[in-house]
Amino acid sequence: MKKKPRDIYKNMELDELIKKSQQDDRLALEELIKRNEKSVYSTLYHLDPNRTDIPDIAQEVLFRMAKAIKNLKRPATFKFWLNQIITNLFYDELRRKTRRLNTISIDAPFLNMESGEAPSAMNIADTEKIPEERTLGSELDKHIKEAIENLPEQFRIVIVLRELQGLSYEEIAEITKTSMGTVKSRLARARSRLQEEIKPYLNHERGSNE
Amino acid sequence: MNEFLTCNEIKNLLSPYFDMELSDEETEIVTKHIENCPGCKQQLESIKHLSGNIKLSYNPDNDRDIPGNLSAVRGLLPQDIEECLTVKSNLSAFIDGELPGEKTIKVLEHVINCEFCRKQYEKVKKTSELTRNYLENSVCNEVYIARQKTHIKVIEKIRQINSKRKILSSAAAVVFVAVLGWFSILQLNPVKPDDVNINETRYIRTDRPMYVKSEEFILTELDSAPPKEVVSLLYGD
Repeated sequence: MKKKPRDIYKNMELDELIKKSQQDDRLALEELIKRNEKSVYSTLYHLDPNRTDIPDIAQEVLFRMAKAIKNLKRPATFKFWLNQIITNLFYDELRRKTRRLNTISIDAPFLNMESGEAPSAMNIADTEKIPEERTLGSELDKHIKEAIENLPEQFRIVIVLRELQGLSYEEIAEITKTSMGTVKSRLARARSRLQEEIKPYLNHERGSNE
Repeated sequence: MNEFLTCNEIKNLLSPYFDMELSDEETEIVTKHIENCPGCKQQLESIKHLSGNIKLSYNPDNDRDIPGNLSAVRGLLPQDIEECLTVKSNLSAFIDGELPGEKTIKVLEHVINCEFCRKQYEKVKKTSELTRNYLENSVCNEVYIARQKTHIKVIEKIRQINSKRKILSSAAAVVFVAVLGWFSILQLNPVKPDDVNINETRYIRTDRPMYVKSEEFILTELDSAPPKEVVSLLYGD
């Protein structure tokens, strides 16, 4: 493993990196995966912070990205394209099963006879696996986190796609299979709710600025 | 919240409605009700009128005597409730730069002139910034990711699939060549006498005794295939 070629890839422009990946350049594909790992992970986490299987989903997203990279016709739309993969997989996972921190149901059978694993309701959260939050130094951040978690799912999705991924209303509408008007109103209402929830702590922080 | 409120219930909401302190849902319910209820509409007009008077006579030193939560007390008065409600619903998109040109200009002009809406704009902007900062800087515990090494697992998975593909295509190639070879051998084997060209001569290896095909060995005249050793002598193997 030569060190020099890898440095070249580290400094490569995204467009060129994508083109090389599409031409079966293995090192380029590796670099592309590395560059987007954090963003994928972060997006999935904020879409549903209580999932315990985020690394598995993140891995699947990156794998699909690598497999389908040749289908990307315009490298300029890479971010939008990747977010489509993330959100589609997120929706799929929502539909299939929710591995959340649930309470155990007395009625649920202990073992799923087909897969041989306990049903999701029986999964005890492995607290070691839950990603820890850093940089929650301020109390305000903690309240923001809680406020975002309390948002209805559709609101949370648009907030994450806009504020974290910086996608346009049009792109968000296409990814969520809704209209631009719906995205606009969901964002406005989501921000309104967040504002309400953090208002008391905001005044506290800002002191006499209000 | 129940969509259908009585006039008494609506009247209790008119004051915060006027101050634009209601939630979006509540605001919508009250707006719809007022459109169809002259009584409540009248009540709202009274509040407007009253707060206008209060603002004119507002003296900060006396604010503890002023009852209620009328924002006029704090010197913030929505210019026009309908226009301010419209602007409020567009503030989020305005901040994102997602409004069409003319609407952007209208909102901008209104925000410049309406102190109340300017405050609203600042609140929405602040919320958006705080949310973005939090989302961008939180989680992705570097240590966690380093432990998981997701990208290494992905690359390994791709390699496994690629090598499986190579094995499969090699196997397919081998099978293909084997089948081809089998058919070729079938073609070379003179099982059918009819297929032989009687004019064909063959050259036989010189390290073996030379034999020339004689009339006796014209295969088309034979009823059965010649003995193996004759065939091998004829065809040089």
